[in-house]
Amino acid sequence: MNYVLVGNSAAGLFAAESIRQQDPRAEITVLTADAYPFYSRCLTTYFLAGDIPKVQLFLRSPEDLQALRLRVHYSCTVTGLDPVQHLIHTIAGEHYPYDKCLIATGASAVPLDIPGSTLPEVFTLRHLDDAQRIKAQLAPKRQAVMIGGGLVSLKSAYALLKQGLNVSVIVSSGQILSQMLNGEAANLLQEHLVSHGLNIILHQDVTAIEGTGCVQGVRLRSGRTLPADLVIVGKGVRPNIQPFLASGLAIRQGILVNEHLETNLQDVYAAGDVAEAWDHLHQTHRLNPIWPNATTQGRTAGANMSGLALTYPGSMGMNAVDFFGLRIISAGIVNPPTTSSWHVDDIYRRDALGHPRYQRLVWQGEKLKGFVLLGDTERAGLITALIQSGQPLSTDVRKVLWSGKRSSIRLVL
Amino acid sequence: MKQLLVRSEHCVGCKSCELACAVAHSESKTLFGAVLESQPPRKRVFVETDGTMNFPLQCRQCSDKPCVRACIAGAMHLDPNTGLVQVNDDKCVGCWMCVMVCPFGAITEGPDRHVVKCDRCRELQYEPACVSACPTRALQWVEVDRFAATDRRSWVDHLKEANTYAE
Repeated sequence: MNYVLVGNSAAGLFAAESIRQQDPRAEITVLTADAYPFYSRCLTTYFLAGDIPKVQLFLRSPEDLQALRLRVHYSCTVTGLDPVQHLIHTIAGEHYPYDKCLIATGASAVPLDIPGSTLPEVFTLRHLDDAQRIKAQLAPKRQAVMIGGGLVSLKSAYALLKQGLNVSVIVSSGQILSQMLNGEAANLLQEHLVSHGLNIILHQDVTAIEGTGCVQGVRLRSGRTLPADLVIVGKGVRPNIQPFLASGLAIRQGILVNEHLETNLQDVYAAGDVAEAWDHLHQTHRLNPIWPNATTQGRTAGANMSGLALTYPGSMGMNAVDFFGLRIISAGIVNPPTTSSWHVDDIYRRDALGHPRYQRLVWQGEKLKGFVLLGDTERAGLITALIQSGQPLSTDVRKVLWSGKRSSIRLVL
Repeated sequence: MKQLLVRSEHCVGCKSCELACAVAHSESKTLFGAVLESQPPRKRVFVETDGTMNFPLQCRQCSDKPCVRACIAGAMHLDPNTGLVQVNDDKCVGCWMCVMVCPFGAITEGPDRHVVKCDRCRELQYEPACVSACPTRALQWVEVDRFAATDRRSWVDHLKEANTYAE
């Protein structure tokens, strides 16, 4: 069997490992736009912060990769897919035939289209090369501006603060991490970040990046100008679907896949950030571009491509962060609709040392649909499991959810 | 292969396993030494109760391994020699993604922002410390077959008793 995997990040590699496990004699070809072996994009901010050396981004040893016996074509840009001939086309004019194909092209950072955004010190952070270019700009006391209040933006800000830069974050909306947190949790995190020297400006947009030849400042909608030596744009990501728009694939924001990670085309699967899979909380197909979803989808797709019939249970959004020791984990729906079937339970207190502890549980009737834990996050996995179970929870369980005990929750399940 | 199996009905909630676990993961491997260490050792087993039932809970070595798939750093991995999920401390960056997905809440924070979880006492080359410490044999380190055989025997005894009673 001849497998072609387009993409060599989380979904692509986990699919390859899964295929190899099922089919020792498979021919596995990997086409990747990257110039590097499989690495973890999520670790780029840790590399920026100086927490880990570059070599630690590569999650598989050369021996591990060799044992997989993949034919990897690096710096290979795919331009199209022909479902009739079962061919993948590349920019170099090559055609790769496939028996089964996986599209795992991931997503790209959304660029900023304002005056000055092509200046050399304006970056997005998605690839290892981005991280290396940013790292070359880091020096204590330099001025950095992050545009956007999302996860990449804040993790970059954290890295640059640790490297001794002066960092400002400009956020359009009224809170940071608006995808991941509700307002109260975001405020507590903001207070913590500000106490560690981060400058956060809410309800503000950057209208231009100023400078001739190099970045000198950013102009805000208010008319004010902030000095800047480098700018990182963190305005989210969008799926890399461009090569497949004419292929007949069903595409909304991402490539639509069913519970087996199959697309509408025979023998073509999709997984990871490019795929729009079922979201069991929102009860619709939805993009959920996070690492655990990509690896799970890759593994499931790979198994199914090589003859198994695994069912993907569906995605949900979730994330974990740690900024200067303040830990936050959230999952599912954290800002529920205001209709009467939804309600939230919030607890907030300070511990003996004055550190914030916050918990939000989001309910739709008797079903748990989301949570935010800030400060004390040890029970997060249990609550995630309760959401994933999709079961209505008894009053007893709902009571013990407050008690903080592990097994008591398991016992009543 | 031997597995760590639990007879929760035997657990009296004495927490001897918690203490033994922490000591086994200390530098000195002795209780008094452990107490004096600058980084207090962390237990990886949690005895919990709902008032009627006690349960010693540690990493259950899930077959679908959500922690391995959530790990962004390649630290949580399947050890090919033992088939056990283990943490590689050199790779863990403390992102807590595994904590987010562990359905048993069995992964916790260790020193230096690394996660820790039950490693089946891989350094001891003997049965896990919690098993040795358990006074009621609620925790057992046995082949699954033997565990099942014991169950079958107790079931036969149960039937005998029921039959005797019926006569």
